[in-house]
Amino acid sequence: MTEAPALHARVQQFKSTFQRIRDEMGRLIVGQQEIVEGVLVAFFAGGHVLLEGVPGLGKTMLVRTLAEAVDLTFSRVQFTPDLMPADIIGTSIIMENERGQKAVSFQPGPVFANILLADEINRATPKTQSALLEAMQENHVTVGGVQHPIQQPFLVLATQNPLEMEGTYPLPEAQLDRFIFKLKVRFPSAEELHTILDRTTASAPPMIAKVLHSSHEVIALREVVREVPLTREVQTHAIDLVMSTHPEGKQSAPLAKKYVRYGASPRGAQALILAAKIHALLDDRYHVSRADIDKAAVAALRHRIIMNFEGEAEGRTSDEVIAEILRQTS
Amino acid sequence: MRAHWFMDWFVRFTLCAGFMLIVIVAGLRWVLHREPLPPAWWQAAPAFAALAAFFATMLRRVPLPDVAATVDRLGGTHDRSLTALAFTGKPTPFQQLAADECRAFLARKNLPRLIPIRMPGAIRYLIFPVITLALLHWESRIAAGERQRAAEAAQKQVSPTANQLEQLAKEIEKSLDPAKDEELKKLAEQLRKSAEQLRAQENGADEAAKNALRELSNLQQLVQQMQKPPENVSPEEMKQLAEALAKNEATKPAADAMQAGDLAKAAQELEDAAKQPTKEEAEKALREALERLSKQRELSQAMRQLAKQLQQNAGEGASNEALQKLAQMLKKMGQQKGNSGKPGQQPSAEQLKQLMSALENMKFGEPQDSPGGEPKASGDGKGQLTIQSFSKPNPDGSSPDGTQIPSGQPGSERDTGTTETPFGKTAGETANKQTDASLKGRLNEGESLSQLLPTAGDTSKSSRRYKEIYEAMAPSAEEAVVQENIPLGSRFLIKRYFESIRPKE
Repeated sequence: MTEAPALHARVQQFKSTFQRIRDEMGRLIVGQQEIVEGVLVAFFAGGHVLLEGVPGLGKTMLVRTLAEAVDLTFSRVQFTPDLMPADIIGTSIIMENERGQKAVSFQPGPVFANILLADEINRATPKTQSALLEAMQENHVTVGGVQHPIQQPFLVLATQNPLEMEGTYPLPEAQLDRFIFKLKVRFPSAEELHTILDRTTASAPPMIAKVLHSSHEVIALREVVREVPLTREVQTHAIDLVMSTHPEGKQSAPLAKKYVRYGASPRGAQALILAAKIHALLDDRYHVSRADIDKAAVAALRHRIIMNFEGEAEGRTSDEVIAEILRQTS
Repeated sequence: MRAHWFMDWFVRFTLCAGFMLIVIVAGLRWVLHREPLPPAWWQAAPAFAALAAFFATMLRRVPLPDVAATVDRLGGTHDRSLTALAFTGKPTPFQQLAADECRAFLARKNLPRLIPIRMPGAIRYLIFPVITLALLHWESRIAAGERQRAAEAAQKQVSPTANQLEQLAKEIEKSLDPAKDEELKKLAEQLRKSAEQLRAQENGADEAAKNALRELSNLQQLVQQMQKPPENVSPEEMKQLAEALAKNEATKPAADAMQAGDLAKAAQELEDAAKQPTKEEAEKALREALERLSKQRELSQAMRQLAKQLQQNAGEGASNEALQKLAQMLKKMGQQKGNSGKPGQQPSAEQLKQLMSALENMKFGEPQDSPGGEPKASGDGKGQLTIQSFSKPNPDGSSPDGTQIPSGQPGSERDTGTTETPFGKTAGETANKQTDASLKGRLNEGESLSQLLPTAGDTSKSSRRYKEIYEAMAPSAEEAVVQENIPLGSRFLIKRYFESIRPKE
């Protein structure tokens, strides 16, 4: 029982930190509260985020703001068709030391940062895209047979443009599965656009205060998230959601049976639980509820559901399938 | 919430129990044709159904996690009930913290007001089994009333007959010594038993009347059996034999004893006569007596054999042996009488005929002379029974108006027809040669009359074919079957008889 106050303090610290970062980002990012919160949830859950939206919606600004607020290293890679893997993960080069001796030395790429912005990731070739696979999942890269760990926390924020699909390389399912969330950045409303223009054209952009000062604080907060308990029934609910996305399952939804080719992977269930835990803490609760699972379902599962030809032809989206599953399981 | 669930399942199980009750009651009423359930059962049945539903509901109690999940879903508590239930007593601090938070939240929330206990909607369907059971109960009461009225009508129908039978039984018991007259005692018991069976009738007036006829027919059959003399020797035969023996001085004491009914003494006298040297005249008289008796239609086989032996051994001094045999036969008859009662005091044939006549009158419901509607029967002393018949029968047992009254027993009636022979009244020489024989019926019941027509060579050829005779007589026979008052059970046997004698194509 003596641990309860300390635990409670840690939870309150997490909540206040989360809210402060959200507030700081809100000073620069107008609207897009769902996107900001989704990015922060993914950040504290230890996952990576795929942002989808047309250019000019502030995706890069959002990532940069986050990096400034948490005082972590930030790097940005503009993915182009001629981008090579070494341009991302780094390469070994021969360097001459002070005594004139030459030695092979590893030059880390931009992936060696706490926050990596992979801008327009679908414009790079699959070879380059797959260079991120190891880093995103294993948190290290291998160059010349030597593993180079990536410093934690490590967050990849990838963006892609849904309109200009010509000359792009859609991300393979294996890589899509490594993103905890896929967030769709919507176009701001007129009111929000007024505010954006006022902030960016009338005066100097506001300064972002640093909420977290070290990566250790982030890791400590991530540990708090993982300690949040959940009952077996709630976990069963998350599993039911994932199973319902499979067209051949007994619990599959009618839309899933008709329009889905592949359902969500177990990583989807992991993403649901982790995100639900953060939602529970933000709601002043110490346990996960079914509502928390449902709240994270769309962002966590939409990119893991692969529609079949019929679904693509009829313009069905995975969001519709998830919405039906949520109605079915509620 | 658990109470809500309890009520819900209780109503469901009560519904099930109600429908099961309907099935059981309907089965008892319609399938098994049982009597309607007593009122106490009707009151206990709903209570039993409710009790069974209660226990079934208790056995199907909803688990607490399900209750908690439902409370969370309806109350918007973010699974706090479920979490509090799951994390109670858990070791980890975070789980304990979560459980405490959940309990504190639920304590602040007014869940009972949030989820009020209402009667489940299915309770309205309880009206169907209730109405059905009420209708079944109502129908059963109506059926019971009809059954009671039918029983009363049956009692009304058979009550006079039963009273008469009981009166007859009382008179028989009163007039005779029960210790000695075993057969009459048995007859009285049978009469009383028949009366009780008739009083137990409750299947309607028609069925009761049929049963009354059956009982009377059975009693007639019993009396007929009692009328049969032992060893097939009728009192008339005994009388003829005594008259024949009385013509001879040696056997006159035996004849006197036979007329007095003392067969044992008659046998002793015959044995004494057999020891004396036989005279030619006495032997002749005895032979003539036995030959005359042998011509009687109902003479026993023993008598015939005895006469035949005397004919064959005439003049050879065999009369003594014949007398000894006759004495042995009389001894045997005397012993049989002794077994049935006091020698010489067996119920007389007249008494039995009067009883038979009374039964026939009861059977056909003829007008009764007695004001009380009961036959008059009075005993004027021990061993004497006088029953005043409603329609006094002829001495040969036939009905006074000449018609043969059917007894209701298969094969007990015989139709003598309107002519003596199938060929009409003008029978030729063959009529003189014909012999009558008493044959057993098909069912070993009753007797039938057959005529043996010796047709040796061409001297007595039939003038008509059998088929023509049958076709000529069949319509009248069928008409008689339809019009005569024949018991329903016997019509089938009569028709089957006519079918059996139909000429083959």
